[in-house]
Amino acid sequence: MNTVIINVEDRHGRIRKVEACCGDNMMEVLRDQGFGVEGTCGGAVSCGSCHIYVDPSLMTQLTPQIDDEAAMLDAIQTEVTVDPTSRLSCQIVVSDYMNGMRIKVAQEI
Amino acid sequence: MKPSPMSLRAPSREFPKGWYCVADSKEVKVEKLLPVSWLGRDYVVFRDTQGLAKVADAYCPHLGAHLASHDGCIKEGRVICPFHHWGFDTSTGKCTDIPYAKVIPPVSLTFYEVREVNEQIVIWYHPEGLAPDREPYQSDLLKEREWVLFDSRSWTSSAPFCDILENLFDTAHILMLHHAHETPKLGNIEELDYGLKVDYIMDPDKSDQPMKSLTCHISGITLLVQHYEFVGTEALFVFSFTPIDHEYFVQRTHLYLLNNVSPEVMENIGKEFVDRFVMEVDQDMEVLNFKKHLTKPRLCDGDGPILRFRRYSNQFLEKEGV
Ligand code: FES
Ligand SMILES: [Fe+2]
Repeated sequence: MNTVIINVEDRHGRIRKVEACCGDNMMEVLRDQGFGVEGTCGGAVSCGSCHIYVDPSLMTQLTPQIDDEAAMLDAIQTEVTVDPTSRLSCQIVVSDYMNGMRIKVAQEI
Repeated sequence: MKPSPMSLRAPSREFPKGWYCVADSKEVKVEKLLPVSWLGRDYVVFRDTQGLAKVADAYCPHLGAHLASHDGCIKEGRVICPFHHWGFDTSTGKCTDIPYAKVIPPVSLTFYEVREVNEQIVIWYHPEGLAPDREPYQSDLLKEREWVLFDSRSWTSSAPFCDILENLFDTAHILMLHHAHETPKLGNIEELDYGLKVDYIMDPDKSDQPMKSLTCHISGITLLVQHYEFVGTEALFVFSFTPIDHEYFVQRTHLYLLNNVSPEVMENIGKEFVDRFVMEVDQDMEVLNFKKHLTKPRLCDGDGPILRFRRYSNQFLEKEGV
């Protein structure tokens, strides 16, 4: 199984290199690596706790948002900053092209 | 005698596609959740603030509570789940309210396609979840003229589901099982967008014949409306057939009489009609509840257009299960 290194910026601005396997769920990686990502809904796109900001240069390569993700990102705007690079990490599968990618964990809701 | 399990009496199949009655219109009120179980599933039936009938999966998409359990209710146009008080808009099904959360997620009740026809609330069922491919028959007569709901009956039957409407086309049993003096003559059988329209031929030479005409409208193989014209009055018989599960289905029957005769005359006509009808259904059920669906019946020359009906009803059935 291929692994990639992802540069994750935590909620305090510290950047940490995280090794992840291709095929892993990004929310689970962040949850298990102690970034304070709760993943309350387990990836059912209803809690918004896995919100991240992704590398703008890689945005177009990511799998597009499903309707529920777009609706959820829309809904959390009242609580946290949502910008065009916002994604719910439970909807992102770690892949080869993410090697070296930088992501940022968003503030808690 | 107890009916044998359906696995011994009919090919194992999914429920036929079609429109199924889940409640009578008058049972469903605004601001009230009606829990029902049909087709092996649980539903809640209610009306939105406009009075439109809605049928939703009974289980809250949040954590699976039955929406009509405990104090589950409808308040101010919202279905309120008893477990965590999530509120769902009665018109759209969308979650609009969670008392303890900051963010309302994109979660909705699962609604079924609903129509309200002939004073019944019907939902579309398709084994593969496909959208409706036809509309159920709606009796304009029932809407436009003044009727009295004279009588309502219901039977729970263990007959093979596909055989219940076949009974209409089995003309020989009317002589034998029901001891009638003559077989009804089926006239034109026409396939229309909703299903089948069947006219019966009346004998004009019989002066003692009180019935002038009889027409049946069959929607798929799940709903039936019969229109009778008698000398002096008319009747509408509204039937629905809905499986509870693969072993049992419920037949509901409502008899409407035209409100054009005195209450005494109506009582006489209605009572005679209902008595005869109930006796015949009871006789049918005594046989049908135990019968087997033969895929290759040995029909003889006096049998009615049973296979004509089967050629029609096949389109609503899945192929035999594996
Ligand atoms: S884990 Fe809940 S929305 Fe992603
Ligand atoms: Fe019969």
